[in-house]
Amino acid sequence: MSTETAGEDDEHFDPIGTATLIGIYMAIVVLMWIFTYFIEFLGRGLTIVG
Amino acid sequence: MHIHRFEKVWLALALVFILGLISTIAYGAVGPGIEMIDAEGGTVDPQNLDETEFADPGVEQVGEDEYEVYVVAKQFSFEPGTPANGVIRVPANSEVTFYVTSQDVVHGFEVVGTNLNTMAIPGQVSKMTVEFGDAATYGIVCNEYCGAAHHAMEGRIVVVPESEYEGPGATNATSGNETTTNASVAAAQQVAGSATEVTA
Ligand SMILES: [Cu+2]
Repeated sequence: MSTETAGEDDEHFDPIGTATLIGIYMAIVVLMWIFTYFIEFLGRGLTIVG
Repeated sequence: MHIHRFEKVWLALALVFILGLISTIAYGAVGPGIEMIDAEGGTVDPQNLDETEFADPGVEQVGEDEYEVYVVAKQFSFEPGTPANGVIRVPANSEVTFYVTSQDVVHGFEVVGTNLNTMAIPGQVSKMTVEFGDAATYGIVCNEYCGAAHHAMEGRIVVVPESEYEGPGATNATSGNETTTNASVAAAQQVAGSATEVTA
């Protein structure tokens, strides 16, 4: 199996389900980070500024 | 080397995500001005706090709306902070710098529900500046296990409306408080005593 002939392989193997799943995980992680930092952390009132 | 196009997309997204993490931290430093507590507070001799700025801990006014609060954490109270020692009283809309140290073991100084949280370490001074807004009452808890009455070690910060602020002098524990201070120490020792009995 040579990888040099690649390009053709792509057309036969597109793991669209896996990609979708990873995309959903990514979105969850991004939303959780935004929630954790901007709402839970910055939203806690008093913060050390010096 | 051949890389599947899905993988290229994934690599690009992962890089963007990492940049996003870094930029939120950068935003936190530049926007809300978040700082970390570092070694800036310096060191003190915990055996001789009487010879340091912690000799008479309490609130001091250092500018028009600027105050400094020296707090000594000890088994099992904050001075000032714990009601028996006099609570910490500052006016609304002020900038307050806390200097916190311990005279015995490691304690915690956590203002409940806020990002104001530090360890109180014998020999070290934790320095942190906070901006208080409206009048409010905050609780302080010790969040490092420090002995038998650790669970009872708490205090209060009262942010009073500017018009009702009587000045920093009213904060310091005075001789009038000694009876209650002794009573609470006795209570703490009782707790410590009974805990020892249980263990023995
Ligand atoms: Cu403690």
